[in-house]
Amino acid sequence: MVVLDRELDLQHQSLWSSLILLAAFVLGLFTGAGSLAYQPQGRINLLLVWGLWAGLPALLWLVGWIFWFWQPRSARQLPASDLLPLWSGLGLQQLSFARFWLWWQWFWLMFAAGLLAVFGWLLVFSDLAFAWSSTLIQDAGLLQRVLAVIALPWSAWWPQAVPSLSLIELTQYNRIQPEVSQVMPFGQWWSFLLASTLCYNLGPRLINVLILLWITRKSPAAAQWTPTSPTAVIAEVLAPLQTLNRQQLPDNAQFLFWQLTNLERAHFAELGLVLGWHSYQHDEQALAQLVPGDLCCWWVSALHTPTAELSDLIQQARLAGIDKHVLGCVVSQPELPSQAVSWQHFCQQQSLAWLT
Amino acid sequence: MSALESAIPHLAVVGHPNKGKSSVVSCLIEDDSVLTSPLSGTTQAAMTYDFQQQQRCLFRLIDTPGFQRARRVLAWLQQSQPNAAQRPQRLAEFVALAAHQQQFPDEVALLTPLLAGAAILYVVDGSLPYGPEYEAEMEILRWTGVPRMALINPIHNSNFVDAWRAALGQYFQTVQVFNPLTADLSQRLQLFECFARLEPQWSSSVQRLHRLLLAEFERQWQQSLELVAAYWQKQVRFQKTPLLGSAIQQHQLQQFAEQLDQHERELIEQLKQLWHHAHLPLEREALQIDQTNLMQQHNWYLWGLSERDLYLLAGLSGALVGAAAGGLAAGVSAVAGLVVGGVAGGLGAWFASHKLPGSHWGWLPLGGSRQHIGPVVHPNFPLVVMARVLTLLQALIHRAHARRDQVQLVAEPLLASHWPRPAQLSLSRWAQRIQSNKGINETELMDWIRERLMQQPKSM
Repeated sequence: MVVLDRELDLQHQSLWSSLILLAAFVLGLFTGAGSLAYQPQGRINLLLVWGLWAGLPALLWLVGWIFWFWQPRSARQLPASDLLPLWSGLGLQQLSFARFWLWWQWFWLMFAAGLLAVFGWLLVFSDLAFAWSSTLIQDAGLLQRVLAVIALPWSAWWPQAVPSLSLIELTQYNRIQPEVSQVMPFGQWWSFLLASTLCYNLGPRLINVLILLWITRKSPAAAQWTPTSPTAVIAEVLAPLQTLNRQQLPDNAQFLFWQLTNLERAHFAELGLVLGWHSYQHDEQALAQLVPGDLCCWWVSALHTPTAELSDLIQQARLAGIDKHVLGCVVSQPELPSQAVSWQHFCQQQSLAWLT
Repeated sequence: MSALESAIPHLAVVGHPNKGKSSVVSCLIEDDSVLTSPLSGTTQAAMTYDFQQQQRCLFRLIDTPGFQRARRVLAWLQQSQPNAAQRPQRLAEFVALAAHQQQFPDEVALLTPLLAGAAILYVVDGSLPYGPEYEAEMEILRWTGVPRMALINPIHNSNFVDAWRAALGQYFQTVQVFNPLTADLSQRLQLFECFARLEPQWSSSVQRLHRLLLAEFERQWQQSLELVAAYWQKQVRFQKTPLLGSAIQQHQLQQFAEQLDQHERELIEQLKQLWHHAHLPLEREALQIDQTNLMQQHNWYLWGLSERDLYLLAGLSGALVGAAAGGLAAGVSAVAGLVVGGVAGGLGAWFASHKLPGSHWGWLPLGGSRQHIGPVVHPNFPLVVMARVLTLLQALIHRAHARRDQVQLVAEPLLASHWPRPAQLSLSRWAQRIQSNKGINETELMDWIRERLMQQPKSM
């Protein structure tokens, strides 16, 4: 059985979750500092940093969504899926994955925030020299075209963050043959890196968080359900017990006496149908005498217990157009324990009002 | 059904909902885990229970859901108007229809074991009047043609037992009155005898069952006596010695008291398992110990002598020396020497008991003292310990397994005050002997326990 992990519910973040998210931020700080570290005679390999800060997160984001939609439909068909609202369309397994995924998005958001924090710090308080270096890509023009595509999301409102061909040509770097001239725009890559991180790392994570928050909040009832053990029995979902005072019975209420003794029936001045004593066919035929639309008042003995035969007759009466039913108990021997609890349970199951 | 299965009694317990079917099963198989409830419709599927002794199934009971649609089922059965020989087949057709699994799940569940050869044990409530609503059920059961017996369960009273007998006698071979909440071993054995009358081929199985049940009961008794005797001695002599040189802390006294309580809890679990009351709802007040008198100090003299031993040794030695010295002079002086020597030895022992602890002869210690926690020397303690465990044991022995009410064990049961004075004194004397490191006759103790149990009223 699937058990939903309440720990993943961000509305009730536990201390551990907060500590782990803080750790993610710190991890981002260290990762950022590490990836931006370089020797004075060297350069920061932009492509590698870009891959780590933007490329890989974007790829994983895509993989996450592919997995979400790829899950086999059969995985959604769990016994308790009927408990969920129809519009959620989610099985318990998917809901569990959504909550787990939401937590991971927070984790990587904090990580990205750590990256950006250290990036911003170093941009202000240090000089960063980026250069690009690749074994396979040697053509600056090709790289420029690729980067232009990558920069499409922000090219319109932040053109400075789109690497130009001259920048690419000037900052190509070979480790075994570093040629450094005095004036090189090594630092101008910062805007492209920042925009890429915002667009391909932080941005998609934020979108995920918003979507997943919406998804998981839409199924609160299902999120609360946790079976207590593998053999837990799902309790019946019973309607609340409605009550009606006997004084409120309308004059045209039709009385039916279910398995009452003569002595018990003597308490009633009203006449009514006596059911449960004769054959079942007799009871079925007797129900045909009932007037559709009028209230049906069933009187039962507090000493007896409900049976399915009675529920069958009530159902038959409903099909015949009598949709209002109340049930009352006759206590003929008060010294004996009453089966009222069983009868009230029966009322809840059959959606009958309990007569007081 | 296999030959082995047909040789042992196997009955399906059937009837109207909420008449005590599951309670009857729980009582007969001595299993308090069978689900019972005052709410009708608790049993929703047929459950098979085997009663086993020495890894052998002695009888089988099948707890079934109650009849829910007896009249409808009877109406269906009577549609084709089968004759008497055709009725069992008609029932088989009813059960075999796939649609009936949905429409009549309870009746299918209770009829299936009957069609497989189980006998019928029909349970009714003797405190409610007989009514025609039961006749459809009895008629259906009669159609099975299998051996049938009826149990009148006087749930609240026996007001209508006679009326039920008159009605049931027309449908069932045997009618018995049986209350699963109060039935003891003898009443259960009587019921098992009825099984033999129901089906002659079960006679030998029932005889074996009778023999084994009695032997098992005796074994449980004997083992209970042994457990209680061992436990009581353990509690009475229980003592803890803290590490050398460390003073006794308050928390150690608390721990000591908790350990005593833990011993009782362990014994209770053993007894519950022994009497098959694993799910007994027990509300137990913890064993109360007065911690103010738990600390004991023990002095030792001359490499292991207790204070009493020291006095005896010194007095005897003095008397012998005095007698020897006086005897050398004359007979009169020998007696005087004995008396004077004995008194001098006693006085010397008294002096030594105050001076020796802590003193040394060179490196050799001449005496010392140790502090202990326990044993509990309060005179009521042995009585309270025994009264508590016997109160519970009495409940376990006589409690029907169908009961689900709570058992309460108070801190100091009144039971001990009902024991005869000589019995109380015997127990106190044994406790003193045990605490003085002297042995007692365990058989006498167990006989004492047995006697108390047999005299005790069955209050729980």
